[in-house]
Amino acid sequence: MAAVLLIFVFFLLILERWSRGRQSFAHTTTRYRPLPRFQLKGWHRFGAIFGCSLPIVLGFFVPGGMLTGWALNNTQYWLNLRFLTLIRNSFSMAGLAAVIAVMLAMVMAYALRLHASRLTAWAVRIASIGYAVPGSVLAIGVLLPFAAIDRTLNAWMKLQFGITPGLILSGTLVAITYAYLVRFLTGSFNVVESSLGKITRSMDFAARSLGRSPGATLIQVHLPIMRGGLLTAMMLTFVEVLKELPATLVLRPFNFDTLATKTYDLASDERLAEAAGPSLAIAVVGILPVIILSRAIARSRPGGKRGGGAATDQAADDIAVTDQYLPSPAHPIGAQVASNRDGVPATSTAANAVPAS
Amino acid sequence: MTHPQALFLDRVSHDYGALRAVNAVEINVGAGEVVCLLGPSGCGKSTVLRLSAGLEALQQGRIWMHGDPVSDSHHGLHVPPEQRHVGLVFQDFALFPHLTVGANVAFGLTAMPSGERQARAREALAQVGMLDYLQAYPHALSGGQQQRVALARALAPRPAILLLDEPFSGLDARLREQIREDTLQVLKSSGIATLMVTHDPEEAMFMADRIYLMRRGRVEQSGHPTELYDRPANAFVASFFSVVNDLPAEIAHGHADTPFGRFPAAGLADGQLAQLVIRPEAIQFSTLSGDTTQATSIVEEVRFLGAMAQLRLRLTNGLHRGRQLVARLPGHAGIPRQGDQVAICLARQGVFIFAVA
Repeated sequence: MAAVLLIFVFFLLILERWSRGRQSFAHTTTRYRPLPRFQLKGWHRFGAIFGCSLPIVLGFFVPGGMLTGWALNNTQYWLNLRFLTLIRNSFSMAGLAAVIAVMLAMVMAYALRLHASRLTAWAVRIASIGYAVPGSVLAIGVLLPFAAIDRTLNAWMKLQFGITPGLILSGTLVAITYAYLVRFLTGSFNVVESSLGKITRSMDFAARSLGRSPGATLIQVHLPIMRGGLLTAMMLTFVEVLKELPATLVLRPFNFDTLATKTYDLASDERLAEAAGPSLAIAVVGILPVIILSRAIARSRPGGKRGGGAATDQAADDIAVTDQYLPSPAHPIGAQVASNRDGVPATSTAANAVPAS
Repeated sequence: MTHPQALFLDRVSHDYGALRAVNAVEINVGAGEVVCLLGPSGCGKSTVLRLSAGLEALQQGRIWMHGDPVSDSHHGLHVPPEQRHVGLVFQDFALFPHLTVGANVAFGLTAMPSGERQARAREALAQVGMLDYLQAYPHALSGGQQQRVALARALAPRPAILLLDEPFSGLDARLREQIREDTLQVLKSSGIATLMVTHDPEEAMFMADRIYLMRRGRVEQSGHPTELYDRPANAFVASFFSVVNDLPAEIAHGHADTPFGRFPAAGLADGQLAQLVIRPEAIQFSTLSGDTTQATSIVEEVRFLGAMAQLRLRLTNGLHRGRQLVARLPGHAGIPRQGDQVAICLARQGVFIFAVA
């Protein structure tokens, strides 16, 4: 069944890529006009306020309020050590996945930058496909081979040394972390790649001519400029993993509960008051990055107000990539052209091919 | 074999795959000289610059700086850019966005004790007139200001040679002239040897003590700007520095007989096909007399260019009747008007005879 589902998924992916064709996007002007603002009156005003607030009220405030009420009235369910264990499990898994995801994303981004070739491009594309696979399908797809490896390993070890190490891959955090990476690597890769694209080849050359070795350039030029993007990528992956349910249910080690799985268990038993605590915890952790992200996105959007300082603008640009958070593999991250006061374009683009002359 | 010159490229060649980008080129820059590499895009000039800086590995040939070999393809020598003491300025300026202007300029000064570093950075900024912006960030600067900071950053470590890659192309046309002058003043007052790449012939003639004109990886001609302008080696060189008129001519007994008179054609064989290349300013006008040997034309269009007027003429008699010529005259008083019939003769200075390749 999982295989059938996968076939559909891949078919749709291919269809989407084919329909996009060889388009790429380029801004035709170098200046952006600020977005026009309209002052609404009367019924329009009331309607707009009502319409815009409805999703937030129904989707957030109402359920949030109920959950908070339940949680506050039933503190015995979550003011205890078991809850802390849940938090520790969730956070450590999310943290581990986030760190590894960003490291892998950096490897991929640098591979594309330093050794651009069709092979590299295809490898990155394939690595980015996982986001489209549903969690449960992914879990099975990971479980089967890992379990097979474990069985083979155990059989061989028993034959050679007479010991059975147990389920090293499928029974530990290895399988579930692997599944998280397959699923969420794309998000962090896009952010990291965009962030790396801010660093032009001429900046590299300039740093080299000013006395820095390639390693020193990485540390003194690349990392500071990319810092915002790397943190963003880690945060994105962290939140995604924290909320992830289907794959976690299947692949988690024995007796290893996370906030998400616990909430699911309790809710499916209709123990809603007990479920309020962990589910609120997930919501709270998930909210902070959403607030930061949406403010940065609004600031970085053409026509939005820009904050002061190079660092926030950089972070805002990095974060704007999450506009396309559900990307397609090898989505062309188009050149972002911002103009400075002189009206002279200062391009920050991800494409740095071999120069012409 | 020692070369006291700041830079010497000895029979340097470079391929990009199957494309020979640089073909056995010999270039030198003397102490304190400003030398321009001029040519259309794709001629290999930027590749030569990158090879000089050490940003690309030399495939064939040798490069010396101040008498010391820095690249040698035969002996596998390649001094990395961070050890070559070159200053680089790029078209996009490549200022580090995460550092202030002062920190950018001080970036290359790691060899100095920190007390001296600040003083030297301020000195370099003062030289380009940007001392007031010590604490500003690059994104807050206009294009012209960024260019000046980039120049200060390259000059601060007192490099052995300065390499400029189309440093003015990223600027508004209006600003370009002023910034060119300012930059040339800074270069001359610091007495630093400079190799500059440009595609703009006017820029090269203004700034350079010597020009190397390149096409398709080869040096077509080198010398003082007046040499290239007044004594071009071939039609390509002649046509690169100005719009030119091009008429066929035939050689007989070492000269070419044209409707405008007889011109010497040394070194060309009898009966060989040749071109008569005429600069627009070499066309002189006089009133029609009855003389049938005069070349006559009708003025089809007059365009006002400020300091000059540009006329489009059509020849009305002789071998080339019906052909168009472009002429330029200083000022706009006393100029033939549209529809006038005029007689033409040529000043020897701007007329050349070349064999057709």
